[in-house]
Amino acid sequence: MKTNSPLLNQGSPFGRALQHSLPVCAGYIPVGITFGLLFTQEGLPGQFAVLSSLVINSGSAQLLSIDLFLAHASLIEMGAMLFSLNLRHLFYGLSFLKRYSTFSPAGKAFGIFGLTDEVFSVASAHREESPRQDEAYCLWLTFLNQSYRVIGTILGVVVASQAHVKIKGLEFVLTALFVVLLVEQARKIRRVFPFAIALAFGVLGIFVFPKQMLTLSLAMSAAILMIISFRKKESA
Amino acid sequence: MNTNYLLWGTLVMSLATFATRCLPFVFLKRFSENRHVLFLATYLPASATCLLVLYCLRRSLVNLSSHLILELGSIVVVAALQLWKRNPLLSIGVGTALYAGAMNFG
Repeated sequence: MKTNSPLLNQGSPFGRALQHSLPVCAGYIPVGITFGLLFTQEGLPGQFAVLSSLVINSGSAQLLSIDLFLAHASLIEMGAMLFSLNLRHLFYGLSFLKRYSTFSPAGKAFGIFGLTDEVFSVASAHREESPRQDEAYCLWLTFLNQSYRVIGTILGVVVASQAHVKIKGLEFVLTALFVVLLVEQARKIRRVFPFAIALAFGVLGIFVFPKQMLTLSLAMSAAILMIISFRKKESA
Repeated sequence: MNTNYLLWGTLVMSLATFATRCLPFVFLKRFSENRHVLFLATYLPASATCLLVLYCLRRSLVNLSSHLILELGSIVVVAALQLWKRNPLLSIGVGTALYAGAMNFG
């Protein structure tokens, strides 16, 4: 992006946020549509799909929620799983701690709420000169990105409830999403043990305690990770 | 499905997601930069993601159904595409189209 272009410099933080958010729009609209479609075709009420995009605002979490609802998962299971999956957001918060510190309380709350992978990656690449403008830029970006998700979701719900079609096999989108996240995690951390631990407890869970597989396997994996962490030398 | 269950479920998942995002802001740097917290934040999402892939496969794994071959095949395609092009939409789109295509016309 050429920041020295006079045309761009004259733009407002909103204009820049809009421009930078377009690639996210191209991704979030189809993701929202798929989520809305799948949610509705699985027989869940469409208005909850829209609510989900309004209050959860996390693609992977929302797609997973469909499966959890259909399996009648407990609230504890839902909370524990989503917390662990999204714990990677901790690093986003850590790197934006200073940047968000000048925001108004309401702006800060909204900025934290909407700090998705995509907002983080776009906002990391650009910063406005004055703190006031930067707040406007970040919050518009956050708002626009969530709007794309909500619009996509509504489209998906409307299409599914009007057309009454059921696309067999669409549920594979959840598996595919987790495989993509897995590849990206493996790329980033370049260690085998977190995957090996989860594989062992996951398979054990599926065959020995299938009803509590997610919660128990996750708790066991977290416990082993904690033990590894505490046994590591201080310097490591 | 019970409306109350959907409402509470959505609320819990909303709070769990928000909690991961506001952890450093609430507990400030000192807690968030504790090395054990950082260790968990680095490796637990990887374990959780791996568990979720297994969770998606749980039914075919238990029943050893023919679906498993189709699922594993599509997973290989998704993973290979992601390693090669690093475009999540492309990997997920092609993998899902392949799987859904086989389910509907296979």
